[in-house]
Amino acid sequence: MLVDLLAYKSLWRFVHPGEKLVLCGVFLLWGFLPFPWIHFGLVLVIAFLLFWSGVSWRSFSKLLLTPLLFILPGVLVVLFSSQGNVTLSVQLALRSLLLWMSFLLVASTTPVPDMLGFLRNFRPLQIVTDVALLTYRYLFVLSARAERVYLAQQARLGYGSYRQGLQSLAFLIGGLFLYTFQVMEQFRFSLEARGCEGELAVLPPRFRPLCLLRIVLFLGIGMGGVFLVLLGGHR
Amino acid sequence: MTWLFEMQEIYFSYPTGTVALEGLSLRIPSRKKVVFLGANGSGKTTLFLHLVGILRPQKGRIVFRGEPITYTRSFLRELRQKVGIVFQDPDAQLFAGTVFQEVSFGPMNLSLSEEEVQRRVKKALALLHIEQLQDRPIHFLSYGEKRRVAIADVLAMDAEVILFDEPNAYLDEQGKTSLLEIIEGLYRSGKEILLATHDVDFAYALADWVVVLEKGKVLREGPPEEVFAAIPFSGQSSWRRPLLFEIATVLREWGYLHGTLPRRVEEFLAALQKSE
Ligand SMILES: Nc1ncnc2c1ncn2[C@@H]1O[C@H](COP(=O)(O)OP(=O)(O)OP(=O)(O)O)[C@@H](O)[C@H]1O
Ligand SMILES: [Mg+2]
Repeated sequence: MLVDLLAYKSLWRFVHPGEKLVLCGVFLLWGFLPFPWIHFGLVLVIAFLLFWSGVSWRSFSKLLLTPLLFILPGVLVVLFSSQGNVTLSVQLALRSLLLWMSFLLVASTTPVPDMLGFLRNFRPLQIVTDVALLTYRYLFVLSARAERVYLAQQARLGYGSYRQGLQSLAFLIGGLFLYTFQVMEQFRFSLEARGCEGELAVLPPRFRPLCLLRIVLFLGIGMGGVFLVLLGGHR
Repeated sequence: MTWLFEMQEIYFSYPTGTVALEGLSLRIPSRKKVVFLGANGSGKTTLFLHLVGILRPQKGRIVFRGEPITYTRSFLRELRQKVGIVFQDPDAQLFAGTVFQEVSFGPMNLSLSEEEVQRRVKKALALLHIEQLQDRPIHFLSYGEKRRVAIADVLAMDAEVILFDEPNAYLDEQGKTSLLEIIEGLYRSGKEILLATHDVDFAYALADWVVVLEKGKVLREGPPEEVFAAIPFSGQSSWRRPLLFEIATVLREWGYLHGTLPRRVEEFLAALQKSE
């Protein structure tokens, strides 16, 4: 997974997730306010931030394919249903892009476990973050397993014909279920053996300390947008 | 003499009906590197899970250092603090976000202070020479690296007895050699070592005491020279002798080698050179 890879290599990996979340929140807020030109500006700003945090243009253009897949059809629908209102369609596309890029900024600079480790600080979320962490981890275990089995099947010409392919696929999926059960049982044993009593407590991830000044700055920028709307500046 | 573990007439079958241990009786000596040899399905893993109190015998009893294992929460807690197990499949053991966090899991469960946990994690990582991996997620590790992290997991808990379930599986030659060194180092530092494998050559390089398992029972136990000399066990053809053992025994019979049998190739070559 490209985003996952980028997050671990990111220059901002150890920046406190609180800062990233607040920044993302500010971008989202602006995204919901009705200022198309500012949306355009913010898209450029985030692109710059992504670049700054270590995302190469090549990775960025690869990542961009995903949102285009769902933004384009939406834009086309609007284009037709509004009898060719190009401005409106472009504004919509811009806004969708901005929202998506705000999330990308967090996702490509913060590995999932780091974010979960941070969210774990909020006690009521703990059970959710623990389950999410295991899901994340076993996604990789299972996909690696699936890949190995698939290659082994292919080597024995398991996907030669349509019929064979279907059968091989059924075996692959069945095998994965079985493997999941086995691994989960062993995993439970290994937790028990390490003295676990129901909670997946590990040391929290280590980040640079939270920079209050930046948080205040971001919040200020967000408030600025709200004031603009209240003052009716968009009319 | 008190034994590390004593098992008396242990029976265990899985819910599926498979009988995994069938009247197994065994005494495991202290201060010896004990290797359990057994084919696939002979019951090695099941036996180990009994030694840490995760599986409970349906019949028979297990004694740890003279004290019968009781399955109360407090007893098990204490037992697992003293006896750690490195699982066969590292993917079934490692779950945390980074190597550092992963290794902290065991010590965190011992309710130590955060500083103490940090100290232990660093020490375990250093002992296995994997400090440089500490910020890596598990899915970016090679198999050999995962194995080391799995061992560090248990070391950080500072257990006195460490059970290794097929730690040499899928390791390349260099990986096996460095694993041997790690285990020897742990043994010298005072840890009790129990190890399960089906690799006779690996067993021979390490063992001070060998237990051969078959179909949930002990087939043979004793010092390695005796056990390996008895291969093929009466009527059993599934075992071969360790290569080095075989060659060295023959050379000793012919008068080219003297004294105790060499355990490693280097030892063997040195002994040959000396006798020349
Ligand atoms: N969770 C389980 N459910 C049902 N049967 C099991 C389970 N685990 C093991 N068995 C069965 O119990 C027997 C002993 O298995 P065990 O895993 O202890 O052997 P092992 O010596 O560790 O084998 P291996 O070398 O393959 O790891 C085998 O016949 C096996 O199929
Ligand atoms: Mg096993």
